Amino acid sequence: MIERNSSTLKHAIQNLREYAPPENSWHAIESEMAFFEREAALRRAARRLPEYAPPPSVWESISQEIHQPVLKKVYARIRPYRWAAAATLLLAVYSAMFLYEQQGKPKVEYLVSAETGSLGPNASLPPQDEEAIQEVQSLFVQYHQQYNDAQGNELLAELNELNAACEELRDVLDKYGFDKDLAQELTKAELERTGVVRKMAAVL
Amino acid sequence: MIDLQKTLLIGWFGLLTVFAHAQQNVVLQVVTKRINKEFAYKDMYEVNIDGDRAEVSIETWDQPVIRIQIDLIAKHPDKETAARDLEYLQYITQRVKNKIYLRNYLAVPDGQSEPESKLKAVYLIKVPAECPVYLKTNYGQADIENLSNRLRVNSRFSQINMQNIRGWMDINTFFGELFGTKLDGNVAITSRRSDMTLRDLSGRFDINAQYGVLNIFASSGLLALNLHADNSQVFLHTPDLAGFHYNLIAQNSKLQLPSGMKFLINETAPGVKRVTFQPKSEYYPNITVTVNLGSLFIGK
Repeated sequence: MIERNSSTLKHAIQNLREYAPPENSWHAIESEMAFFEREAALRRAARRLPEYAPPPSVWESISQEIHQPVLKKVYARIRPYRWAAAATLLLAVYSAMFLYEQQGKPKVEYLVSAETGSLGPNASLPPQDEEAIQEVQSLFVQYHQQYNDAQGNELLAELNELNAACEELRDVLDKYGFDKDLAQELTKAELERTGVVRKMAAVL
Repeated sequence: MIDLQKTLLIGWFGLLTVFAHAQQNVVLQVVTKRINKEFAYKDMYEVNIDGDRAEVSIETWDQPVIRIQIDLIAKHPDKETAARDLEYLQYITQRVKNKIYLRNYLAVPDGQSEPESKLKAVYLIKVPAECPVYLKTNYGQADIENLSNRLRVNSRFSQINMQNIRGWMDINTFFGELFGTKLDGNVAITSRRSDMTLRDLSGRFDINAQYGVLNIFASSGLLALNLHADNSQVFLHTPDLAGFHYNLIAQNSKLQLPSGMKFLINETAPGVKRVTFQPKSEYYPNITVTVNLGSLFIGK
C-alpha cells in the first residue's frame, strides 16, 4: 500500500490530543493484585487441609428432619395445648349440629283455651234402618239375577257407592268427633241412599 | 215393601232430629299444638299437602319463602283427655328433593282406646304465587287464593274454595263442594257426587261430572268449555249469549234454552236432542255440553 498524503497524516497524528490516567489508578491496580495473590495463597492452603466424613447417623437425622410432615411439626408445637384444642373443636362441632337441627326442626308450642260447645251426637244409624236397607238390597239382587237389566246394574252400583260413603263418613265422625259440615254431608248421602233404596223397593 | 219404606223414612227423620238437637252446650277445653316452619323457596319446588279432617288455607306473598303453620286441635270437657287425644294427631313437615310434604293423620297406638275429643287440623300456608301446589284433602275444607302456576286438588268429602287462580289446574272432587271465582288457564275438573259453582271463568275448561248441581258463569275471556255431565243439573250462564258457538247434546234430559236465539235442534235418536248455534262473528269460543239423565239450562 502506498501512502499518498503521508505528510497530511503525520501532521494530523502530531496534532492529536494526549491523555494520561489519573494518578491513583496505578495504586488501585496494585492493591487489587495483592488481594488476588492473598486469595490464591488461601485456596492453596485450603486444598492442603485434610478431609473428614461425618458418621451416617448424622445424615439420617438431617434427612428425617427435612422430610418430617408439616402437620407433625404443627402438632409438635401445639402438643402442650392439645386437650384445650380438642375441647374447643368438639364444642364447635356440637354447636354447629345443634344450630342445624334447630333450623330443620319446626317450632312447636302448646296453647290452651276454653269455649262453649258440645261434643255432638253419635252418628250411628238406628240398627233397624241398616237392616231394612240390607233387606231391600238382597231382595233386589235376587230380582236382578232374574231380570238382568242396565238400570238394575246402575242402581246396585249406586247403592254400593252410597253404602261405602255413608260408612266412611260415620267412621270419620266416630274417630274425629262430631262436625256439622260432615254431618250434613252424611245426611245428604243418606237421603240419596234412601232414594235409591226406595227406587229398588218400588221395582220389587 | 211399604213397611220397609216407612221404616227407612221414620229412621231418617229420627236421625235428622238427633243431628238437629245436638247435645247440650258445655265448656270445652281446647288444647292446640301449634307447629311453625319455613322453607326457602327455589324454582319448581312443589308444596304437597295431605290433610285429614283438616282446614287448609293457602295464600300467596311476595317473599321467596314457604311458611307453614299447622294447628292440631283437640276439644273435650276434660283437659287431660283433650291433651291425651291430641297426641294421637301426628304430622309431617319435610322436604324431599323438590317436594315439600305436609301431612297430618290420626294414629292411635295399639291397646289404646279411641279418642274421645273432637279433633281437627288447621293449616295456614303462605307460598310465592308461582309455587306449584298439590292438595289432597279428606273430610275437610280448603281455601286457595292467588296462585299462578300449577294447582292440583284431590278431594273427598271436602269443600274447596278457589279464588283468583291462574295457570294449569287439575281438580278432582268426590262427595264435596267446589267453589271457584276468577279462574283463568287450562282447567280440568272431574267431579262425582259434588256440587260446583264456578264464576268469572277465562281460558279452557274440561269438566266431567256425575251426580251434582253445576252452576257455571263464563266471562268474555272464556276460550273453550267442554262439559260432560251425567245425572246432573247444569246451569250455564254466559255474558254474551250469542257470542259463543254451542254444540249441545241432551240425552233423556230437560233442556232450557234462551229465547230470541236461533238454535238448530235435531232429535238424533229417541230421547236424544242435538242443539247447535253458530254465532255471526268470525272468531268465537266453543261451548260443548253433553248432559245425560239430567237437565241443562243456558242463559245470562
